[in-house]
Amino acid sequence: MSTDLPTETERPISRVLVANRGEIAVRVIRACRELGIGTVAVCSEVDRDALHTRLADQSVVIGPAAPGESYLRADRILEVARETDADAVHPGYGFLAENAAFARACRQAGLVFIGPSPEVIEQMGEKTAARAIMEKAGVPVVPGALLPEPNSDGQFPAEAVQAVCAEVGYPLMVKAAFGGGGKGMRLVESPEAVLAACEGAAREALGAFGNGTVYIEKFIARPRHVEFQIFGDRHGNHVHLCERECSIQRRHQKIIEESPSPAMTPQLRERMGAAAVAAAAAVDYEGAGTVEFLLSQEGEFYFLEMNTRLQVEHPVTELVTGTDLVRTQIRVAEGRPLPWRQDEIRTRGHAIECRLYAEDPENGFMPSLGTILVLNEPAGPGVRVDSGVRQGDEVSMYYDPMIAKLSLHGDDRHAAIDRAVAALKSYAVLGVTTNVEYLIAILQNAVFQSGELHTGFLAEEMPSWHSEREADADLALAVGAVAEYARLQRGGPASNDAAASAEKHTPWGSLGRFRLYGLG
Amino acid sequence: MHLNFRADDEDVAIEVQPDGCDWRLKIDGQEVPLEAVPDRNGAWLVETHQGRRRLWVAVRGDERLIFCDGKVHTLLLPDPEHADEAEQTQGGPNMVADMPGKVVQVQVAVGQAVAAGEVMLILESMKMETELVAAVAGTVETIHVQDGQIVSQGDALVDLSESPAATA
Repeated sequence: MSTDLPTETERPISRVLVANRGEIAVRVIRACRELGIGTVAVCSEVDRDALHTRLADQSVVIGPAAPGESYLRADRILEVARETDADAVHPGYGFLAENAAFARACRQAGLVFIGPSPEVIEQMGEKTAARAIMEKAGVPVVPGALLPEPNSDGQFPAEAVQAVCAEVGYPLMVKAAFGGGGKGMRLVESPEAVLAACEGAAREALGAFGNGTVYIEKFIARPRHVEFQIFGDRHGNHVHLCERECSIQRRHQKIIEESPSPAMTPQLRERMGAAAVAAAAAVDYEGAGTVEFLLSQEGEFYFLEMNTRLQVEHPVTELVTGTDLVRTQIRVAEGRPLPWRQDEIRTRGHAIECRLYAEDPENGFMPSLGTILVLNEPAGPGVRVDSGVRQGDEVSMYYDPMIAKLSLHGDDRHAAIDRAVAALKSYAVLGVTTNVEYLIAILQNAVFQSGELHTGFLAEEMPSWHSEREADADLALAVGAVAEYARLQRGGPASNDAAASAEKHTPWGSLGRFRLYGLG
Repeated sequence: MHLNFRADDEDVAIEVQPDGCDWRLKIDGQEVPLEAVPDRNGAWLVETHQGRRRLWVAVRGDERLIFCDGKVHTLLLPDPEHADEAEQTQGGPNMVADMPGKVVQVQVAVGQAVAAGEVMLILESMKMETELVAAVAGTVETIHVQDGQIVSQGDALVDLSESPAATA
């Protein structure tokens, strides 16, 4: 590899360009500030006033709202890094985080890419190559096989496909080799359906990822999604920071994550942890990464994939292990050794993360757009909010609808669940519809509370969920009426600008109202 | 005060009468006592038989959004009469920015008595200066902005307490 950078010695980072938006950009900027490292935010035109741009030392608008014209513009981002004299880039998650070409371009521009090498990103991004590497390293993988190539019309050779599938056994999954996020994926129960599924998955994969290569895997019934946080440095050290259970998913989108996994035993953690570390060592992994496993009902585990980035759900690991993964990412990128040995890493208590999405669970989980008129973030012991928005912000159609993460730490799983429910009940978001009540319903579900989780939990337990708002409808009506009376008395804005009435009149507005009532 | 809402596709008529921190409500003719005080940031504290509860209320057009224990309730103001009433109160004592702009000069001070029509603030918008005047006679209670500040449409500028004669 041609690079002029010294890779074996420590090189302090002085200014980080954060190539992301929302809560993760905020998270990274905070870590940099704590370390005395300067920050450069980039943003799209609609994000000009977004929270992350306000927390960074400086921010640069890099293009229009559409991600392809801003947050995915590697060339613009590198240009800004040069103009602002940044010496490192943190990609966050999503956008360019697992783009090997971008990581390589950073290196060629003399910038430290805070993450693994482009070679590792490339290897792990190609699911079949990753499987092969893991198999070789002795990490258990789901039995599976590559499919023979389809012809130019997208038709697979029937006999050859049937033979390969029969060998793996039914039921099986057809998956995109270059995919993720549930696209290009099909469950096949019997041989009759396999050809159509392969063609469909290949078509979908081609459309979504620009590559229609598909492979098959044995289907594991009712598995748990259990992943291990791993960390490596430039000095050959690799550790794991225990697991996260992420079985609460909707269409492969994680919603609630926790650590430890309710299914974990010391023996199983030992074995899975060793496999995760072996996976990291196999590619000489540097920085923070995640090794995802399926854990079967029988307690067998299989390598699923390796994510070469910081995960959305990293806070639960930070809470139970008492670590700071983003700070450590930066230190490791500077060439320092890991701050912990494996035998120093322990978990304490239980942590749960709930992802707040601006979407409507009663209406097909449609993204909900608009202005956040009221925002009350919960607080208190063991309550952590990672938010990318503040009151008055616009939730636009261009980006992921996840607006914040609420992470709770408690002495045990029940304490963490109680804390989560209480915190969500005071997490007031008005103006855009969110999944707050849906999250509460999951946490209060008896099966969830029993810890008997699997990736089909939501589909099975909450196939069609509806709000139970009738319960408090009378109270809400009464308070709505009283608030309306007070508003009219005060002469607040008559309509369509509640942001002003909710925010700008605080605190004087409420004091004023108070006095008014006193006068009667 | 008489209010009409539409909640869950049903029209509801409510009479609201303040009584200190208590409220006398008549919902569809039925007496409903309520002990509620406003808290900061759109929140209301309500005493219920389950103890004190905290709800949040926001205004979005003719919708009133209420957050209660993780659930969001929506009330609609369907009545055009009500809209008229609201329209009138907008010309009431408190001044908000009608359009985005820059505050050129605040011409009043807290505690100052102003007459209806008196200039309180000069706002520059689209390179034009506009004099904003008091809608009613009163006393300046709060000034939300300072010279040079950029404001958005709907931002509160100056709050007045009306002269006693004008109080409802």
